[in-house]
Amino acid sequence: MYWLTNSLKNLYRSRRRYIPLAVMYFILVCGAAAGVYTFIRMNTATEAILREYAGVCEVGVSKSMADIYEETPPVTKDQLLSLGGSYGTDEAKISKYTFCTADVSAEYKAKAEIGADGESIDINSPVFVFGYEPSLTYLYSSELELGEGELFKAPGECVISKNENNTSPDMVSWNRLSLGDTVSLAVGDDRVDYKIVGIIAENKDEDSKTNRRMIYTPLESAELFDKYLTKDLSLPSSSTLEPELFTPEASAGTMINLGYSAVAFLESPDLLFDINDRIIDSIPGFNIQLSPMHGDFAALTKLTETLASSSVLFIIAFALIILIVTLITTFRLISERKYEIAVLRSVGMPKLRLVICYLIENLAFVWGITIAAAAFSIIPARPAVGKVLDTIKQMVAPEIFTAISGFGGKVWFYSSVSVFLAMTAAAALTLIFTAVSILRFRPLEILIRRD
Amino acid sequence: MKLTLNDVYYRYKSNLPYVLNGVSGEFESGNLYAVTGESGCGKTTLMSIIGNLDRPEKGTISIDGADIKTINEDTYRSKYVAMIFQSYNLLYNYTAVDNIILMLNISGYKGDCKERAGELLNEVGITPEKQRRVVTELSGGEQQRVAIARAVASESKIILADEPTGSLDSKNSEIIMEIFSEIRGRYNTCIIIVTHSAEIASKCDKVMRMSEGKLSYSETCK
Ligand SMILES: Nc1ncnc2c1ncn2[C@@H]1O[C@H](COP(=O)(O)OP(=O)(O)OP(=O)(O)O)[C@@H](O)[C@H]1O
Ligand SMILES: [Mg+2]
Repeated sequence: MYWLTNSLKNLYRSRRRYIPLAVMYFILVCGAAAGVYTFIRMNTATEAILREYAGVCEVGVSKSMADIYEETPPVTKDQLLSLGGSYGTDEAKISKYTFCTADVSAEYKAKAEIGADGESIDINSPVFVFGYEPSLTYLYSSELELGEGELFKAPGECVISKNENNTSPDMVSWNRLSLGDTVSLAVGDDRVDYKIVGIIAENKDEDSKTNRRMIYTPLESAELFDKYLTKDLSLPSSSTLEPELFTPEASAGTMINLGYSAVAFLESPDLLFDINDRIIDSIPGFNIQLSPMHGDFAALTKLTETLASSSVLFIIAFALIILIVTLITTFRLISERKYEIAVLRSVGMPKLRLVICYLIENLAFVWGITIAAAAFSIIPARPAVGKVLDTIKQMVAPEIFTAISGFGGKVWFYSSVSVFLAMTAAAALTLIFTAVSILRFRPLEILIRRD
Repeated sequence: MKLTLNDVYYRYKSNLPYVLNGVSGEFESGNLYAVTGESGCGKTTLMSIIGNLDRPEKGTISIDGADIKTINEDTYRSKYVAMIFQSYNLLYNYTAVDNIILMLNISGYKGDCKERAGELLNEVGITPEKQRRVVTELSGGEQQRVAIARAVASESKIILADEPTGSLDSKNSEIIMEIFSEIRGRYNTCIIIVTHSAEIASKCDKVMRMSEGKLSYSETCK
């Protein structure tokens, strides 16, 4: 006990020697640890997002546009509206996503009320209704890039898309709609009013001539049409579609209801980045479209890879710093304190005890500062981490972000493993170095100084 | 207890002449010895060899007939022979009391080291306030006393003091000599003092002279 406390006291006794080294070392470790912290923290966050979303892919099945316009819909009058429902993966916690098209015939026109005076117009061509599960909305943030207003919040509210480039008569009247107007859809005995709260402008690029009239609304407001679903239409057995895509794993959680159009989620870890809005013509007359759920995945993967490789550099730097500083302190300890060693040896301090005492002193210094600096490093690293995490946050759903922000624990795992390894190596080298120098030490020449 | 040197030879390097050139002599407990001789004649070297800081090339040193080679080096240095160096050789970033506590711990003192250290320093006249000072903040004479206290702390049977009064004024020299004589009386120690001063030598029980690497009893022996 005495020897332990005495060794630690020696740190204080030799403070003049240790302080400059301590300051330098603290800064170095702090810098390296901040780097490790930042990189790994960001890395684990993005990795977690990727894991969370891995392999979620949208499968859209629809009749081609031409079919919708030119062919007689293969449904009865009461079933003019076809609705496709589907289920997402458990992992992404996507419960439901509904995609429906409303083909409005002459008898079942969409009516829209424009302005405060309640002017009424008829829309004579199909209106597509997209019903969104609220928790899923973020997946479509790029699709729902609003030009005006805000995203729907309550049932009955909707966002519509307009395209001023398209000059077909129906589109021109549709384009007259503005915020606050109401669109009424009537199918069978049902009628739903949608109040426009946001508008997507689809004419951002000059060539865009989209003529689809779209209504985006909470799922609740779209589900009303559920009973008009054509339930008995189904795809051929999924395995015959495209074997390499519809493997048992890939099709897990997939449910496709086929009307004019339907959407399903396909889950396969490897699939995601291979699919680039692929269109498969497996069923005559239908388009099957596979598209990744999240366009930024490629960027995220790249970020993860960059971060992972950069953090390795920091970890190596971190370990090297520890090693080098330990060796420097040992070297200084031995060479600058030859006199002290000589005195201690001359009064009968056993070599082994001396080695242990110096080892304790040295390691207490290096480890103490390493741990303190590593802990302190969070302070400079936090703003940087926070900034990046904020960016990531905007790319994903709040509930998913909350889930992943817990992964910070891994930071400590990685850095403590690297620190532990470096320290162990340093301790071993120090032990060898100290032992060799002390064991070979002869005090006589140092103590008999001619002064 | 008897320390015997028998034809001891020592040189610093094999290409240098022998500094100790067949030293023989006997030292007994309860006695105060003075070793005199010209500067550079090898007094300090002799002390270091007796203190087992190095091994003689030839000859034997024995305590009560036992060759010191057979005694563990560290045990010998911490319990048999204590050295007080010309330049004190204290640990300079330690306080006076910490120097003593360290020694007590090395020699395996069983009691309360802190208390004992205070006692020992009081005995050599270092006040409690000065005991807590870092030794560099003490005067040469005070450092010398701390070095003496450290030698006493080891409870060694032999104390070797290399010019303990060399850098002290006559009053302080006298005090140091009184301390030695008291220690010898109280602990029945064998104390060997290297000195250039005839006055100091005259206060010792036996005076030995070193020349040409050999040790002989001086005619001025009391
Ligand atoms: N480390 C050393 N290496 C080589 N020669 C040494 C060393 N130390 C001392 N000597 C030589 O050994 C001889 C004896 O030295 P020593 O220090 O024992 O003399 P001393 O009698 O104590 O002298 P002083 O009275 O000046 O203290 C001297 O000639 C000295 O030059
Ligand atoms: Mg000398």
